[in-house]
Amino acid sequence: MRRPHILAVVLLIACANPGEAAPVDADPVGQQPRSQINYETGIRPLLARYCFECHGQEKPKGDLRLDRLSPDWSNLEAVSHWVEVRDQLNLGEMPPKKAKQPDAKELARLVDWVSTGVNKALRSHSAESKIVFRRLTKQQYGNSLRDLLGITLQDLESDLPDEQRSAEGFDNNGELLVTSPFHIEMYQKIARRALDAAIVTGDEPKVTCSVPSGSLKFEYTVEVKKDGRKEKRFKHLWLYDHPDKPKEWYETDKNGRKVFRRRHPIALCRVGGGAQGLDEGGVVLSRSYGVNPISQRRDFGPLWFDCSRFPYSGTFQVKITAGATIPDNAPNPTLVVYLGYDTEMMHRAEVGRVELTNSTDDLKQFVFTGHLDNFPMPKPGKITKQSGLILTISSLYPTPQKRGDWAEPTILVKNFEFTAPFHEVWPPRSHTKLLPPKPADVPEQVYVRQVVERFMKRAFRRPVKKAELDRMMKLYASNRSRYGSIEAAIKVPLTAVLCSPSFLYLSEPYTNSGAVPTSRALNDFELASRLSYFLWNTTPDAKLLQLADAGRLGDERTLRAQVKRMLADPKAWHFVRAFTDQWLKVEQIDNIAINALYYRDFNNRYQKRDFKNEVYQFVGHVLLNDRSCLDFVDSDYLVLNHRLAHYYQIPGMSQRSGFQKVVLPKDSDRGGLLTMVAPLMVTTPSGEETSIVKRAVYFMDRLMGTPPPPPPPNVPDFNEQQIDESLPVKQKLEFHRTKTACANCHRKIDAWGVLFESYDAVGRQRSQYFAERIKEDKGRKRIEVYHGAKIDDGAELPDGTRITGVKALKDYVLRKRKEVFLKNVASKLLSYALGRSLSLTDEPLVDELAQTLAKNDYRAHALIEAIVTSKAFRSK
Amino acid sequence: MKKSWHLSRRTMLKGVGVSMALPWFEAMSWAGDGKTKTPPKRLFCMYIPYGTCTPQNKPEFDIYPTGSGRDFKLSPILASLGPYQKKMSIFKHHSHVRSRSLNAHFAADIWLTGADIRRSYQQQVSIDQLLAEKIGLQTRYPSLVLSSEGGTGTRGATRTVSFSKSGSPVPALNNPRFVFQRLFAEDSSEALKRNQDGIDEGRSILDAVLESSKDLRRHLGKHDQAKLDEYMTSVREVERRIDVAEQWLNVPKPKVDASDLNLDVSPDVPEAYVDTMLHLTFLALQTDSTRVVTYQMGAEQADKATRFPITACGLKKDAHNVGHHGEEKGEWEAFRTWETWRAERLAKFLKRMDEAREGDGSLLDYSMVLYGAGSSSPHDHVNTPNILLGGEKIGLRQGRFYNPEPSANSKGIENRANRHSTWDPEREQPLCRVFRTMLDCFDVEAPHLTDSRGLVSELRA
Repeated sequence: MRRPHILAVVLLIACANPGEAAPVDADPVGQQPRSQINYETGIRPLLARYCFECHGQEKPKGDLRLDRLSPDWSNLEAVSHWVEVRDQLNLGEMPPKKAKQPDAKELARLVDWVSTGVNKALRSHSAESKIVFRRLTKQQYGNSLRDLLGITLQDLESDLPDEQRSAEGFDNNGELLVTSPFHIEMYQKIARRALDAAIVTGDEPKVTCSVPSGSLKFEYTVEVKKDGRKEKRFKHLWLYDHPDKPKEWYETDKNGRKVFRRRHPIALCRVGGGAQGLDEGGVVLSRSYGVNPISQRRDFGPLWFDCSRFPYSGTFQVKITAGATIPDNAPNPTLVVYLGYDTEMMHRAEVGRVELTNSTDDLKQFVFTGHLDNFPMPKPGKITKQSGLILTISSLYPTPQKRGDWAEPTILVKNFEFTAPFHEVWPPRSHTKLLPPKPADVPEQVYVRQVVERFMKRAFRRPVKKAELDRMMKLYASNRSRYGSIEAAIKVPLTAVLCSPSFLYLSEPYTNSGAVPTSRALNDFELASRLSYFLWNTTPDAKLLQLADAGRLGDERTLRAQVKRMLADPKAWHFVRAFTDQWLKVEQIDNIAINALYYRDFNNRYQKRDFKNEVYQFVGHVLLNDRSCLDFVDSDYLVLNHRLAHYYQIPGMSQRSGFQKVVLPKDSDRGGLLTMVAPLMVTTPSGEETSIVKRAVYFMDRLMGTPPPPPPPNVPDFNEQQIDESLPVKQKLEFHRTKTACANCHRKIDAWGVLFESYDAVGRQRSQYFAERIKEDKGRKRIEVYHGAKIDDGAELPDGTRITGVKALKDYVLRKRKEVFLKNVASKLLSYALGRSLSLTDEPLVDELAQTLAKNDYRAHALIEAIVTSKAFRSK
Repeated sequence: MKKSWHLSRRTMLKGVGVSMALPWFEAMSWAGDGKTKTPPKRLFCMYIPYGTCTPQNKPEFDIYPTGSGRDFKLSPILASLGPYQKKMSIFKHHSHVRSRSLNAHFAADIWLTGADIRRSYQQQVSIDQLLAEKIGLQTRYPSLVLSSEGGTGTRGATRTVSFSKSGSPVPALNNPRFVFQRLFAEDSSEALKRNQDGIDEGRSILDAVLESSKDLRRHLGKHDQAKLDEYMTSVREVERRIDVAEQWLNVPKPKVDASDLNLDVSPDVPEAYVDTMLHLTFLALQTDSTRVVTYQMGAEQADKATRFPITACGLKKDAHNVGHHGEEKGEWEAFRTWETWRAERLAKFLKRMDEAREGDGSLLDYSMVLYGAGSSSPHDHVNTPNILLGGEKIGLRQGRFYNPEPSANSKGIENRANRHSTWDPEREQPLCRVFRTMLDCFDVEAPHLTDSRGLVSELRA
């Protein structure tokens, strides 16, 4: 078993000396030279010289006649033979060793020509069919259900399988969205669960967990330390639902005997590390001491409640009355509320947070609500101390750059209330929205028909035909007798609606059943759906459907206005997250275990969330705030929270904890996406030493949209090759270069990755590589990691430019490869918007979009509007 | 609340631990009429937690036999399995390739799935559920999932060893009475009606959506029609499953003699409890109520089952601490006592299986019994002992001790999670190869077990 780091080392060396590789006459990221090679003058003579002897006669070897193989990329059979040719060339299998060999330049020309042609052909064939009838993705399905029903359950869709990714990386590709019996069964089950959460039957459930206002009274003792300091020690306090009534008492039972009774406490209140002191009827919270600003790892927080009786489902409400004491120059503290269980394992999630600006003289009440199903809940069973539902209140603020910059701000929690299940109104809004109160004089049939029709219209995102409605009413009638109430029985047809293809699929049918035209313009309802699933990743709202109903959405001015409105809506973050995850593969950093032997102080558990959010926030900032798309390459700002600013050692972060735009210092290399932690980490799947090839491919594919051809089949991974580890570095490199299979492509790939070498897997700058050695310690073998060779991040690019480091790469892209980059942004966004792979016929549109960007200062909204108003988006 | 009784019947079954999919009516007659010629094939997997006794150079405390190949002598720990020596295969130095550096408390999570959870917890289907999906429609219950703790537990402390196709844990049953009722007690007429109602409703919903689909289909282009057909085929398949479920509703459950079953026993009385769970397993297989059973005797980080060494064997330490032994006097003895007790439970179960006649052999001959742990001692994910018993009439060749030779000049790699031990990467074999061989006997392929290729040829008859 070879360990993966060897791969990185070998490749590194190979790439650090690109000058020794074969001469280069094509630049994959530039794309220009390749397509100009002419088959008749540039390729056929080569084939004739080296191949036709065996593959140009009757009974050709391997049944392959190259002299008759046409360079027609629209012929799939021909393409499949060309794929074979490409692979054989890359492997160095053909021409055979004893035959005449093409020189390196000729070989490169052949490989380039075949690869380019094959890539284009395959792309166009895969997308031949245009937009297909596409199913909602897992995320779209969950978002749509929540919006339709007005519920907040976050885990509705979690049992559905993940979707396959297209070549572009997107999961909304209609071709690839398959439906299995498992899906159908899950759809029924999930719809039932969602409807049960939205529609209630019977009376309001009794409140089972209530920590009433005024119960916050703390007891403490004063302990005198050895050095004479006095310290308050808080007692753990059991809270009772009626604090003024006795906790224990005797009662006389039926038989006249005296019985001891004890009131069951409703919660245990604890004051932990960060609680500074006790004020009149309240607790003063400073930040938990000893908190690592990056990891936040420590105890459950300064003030927490352990509730012993609580429901496992339903909504809850927390009300906190608090104010802050903010010394001069100090930042405003943020009050954060968490709910969960188990103090040690940190099974908890954030309920909400609010930055406090009011002083303790001006106490304010802050209200948070949530759904218990969205939080980690203790296991049912006997609840003991510390195993119940725990609600934590704590205070957060950024770390001062240096000690003594300012005194700590504190929060006074004066009062506190917790109620579950909590209903602001009964029945809840989700219920009345779907089922408004039934007037007594309206017959049941009429009422139900109205309800079902309204729901169907929303769910199907279009007007409903009479036959469709009749069918659902028949379903209602046939199941009505099983249920005692309209509310219960109506869930049957509503479940059917949510399992119907008209809800589950974005269908754009033809209205007349005659011959199917090749293309037609979308009607306004179909346009509303496309728009909504593009910019919100969820179902259209009432406004969009209204405009569609009035036939006004197709109007270009209205359409542009709607795009603006939608991008300003919080739901646009669904789009930002989905698009960013899939474009930049951000979410995959969750799958990477950073090896602690290499990165001792990295915390796998808490830091990744910040690194993902950083990318979402940055891309969101550009796309939603209409910034320049060139900011993706390099920017003079980042969107950071205080922990990330600390991580990047960027001073001058304003004194808040949340994400915000931060202007970078002049000499910073951190602008743009490339030097964020997530992209640097996602290209290091081993979690150990970085990989030049992975980073190069990521840059070429994700950023520039010019992926290198896939490795030919049967090429072993480097780590499987029998390279003796003890060989000197130089010889290992030579071993690699002797493999023509690798050299042909890698001379065009590796340079891009070398430029990233001064960043390690967790995105920090470095000057030395890692190295491993086996250390013997008392007879035991142990792996030890140490800092080895010095980093060299200089490389010669395929066009001969010699540059060093990522900063230079960013400049290079902006100066020389801007159009390629813009085309990639345009095509990625277009592919995502259309839910399909792009084909050759889309190239003019992509060019046009890139030009639109260039004409409009590269502003993101210009691109989005151009996509939405394009013919491709507006027709089927 | 999330759950509602009028969900599909399938959901109900899932909720109480008898998993997914629905029975296949035509073939459900094996146990009843005795006319069918070949007895069906069954699988039972039993998991033991917190490692096993695998000291170095102390054969008297080792679970592994001495010798190798066909010529081996059982260790004192496995003495109770003596009568079945010819019907078993013991695998030494076998483990899941991708979990060797993991903390061993994840052992139960991946024992039957072989999933790669090093980077993130991405489960895949366990071999029993994979099999249940293929052969489960032929019995009333596709599978029976048992554990001493019940439920699903949490990641790293799972209380079930079965994971569904989507990688989510299948909740396990732990109440013997409940298991018995599910398998053998007639449903009340109300329960029957409720189930019938659920089926009728489910069917009416599917009918309605299928009709809507037909309407829509007329207005779609050819390519889109193909996509919609995929949907409609899936709906029809679900309808078929509902039909099968309905037919089972009216088939009486098998009658068994419950006089020597103590159904009110709790895990506080380990010996009786484990024996009862295994007895129920035996009855479920014998009556062909299901053909796939898993039982997790204890979970890592469990409650009652962790105390079994104390409550059952009178030891001073619980299962976790017995497994985390040092070299102090008496520690290996304690581990051996505990290990022997576990093997004796298995032996008692095997006796029942072997005495029950089935076709031209015994029930054991037609069932594979996998008895195994996810870790060795102390808590390592390498060299995990697994014993495969029975199944000689359904494609296994038994009576062999698989003990791969150490490599000549292995450096030995230290376990990253557990600094106490090293392992020999050349010697350690992938356990999934054994799994794939087992599934091969059922004509089931497992392409998702990607850490190895091929079968164990000596094991396959």
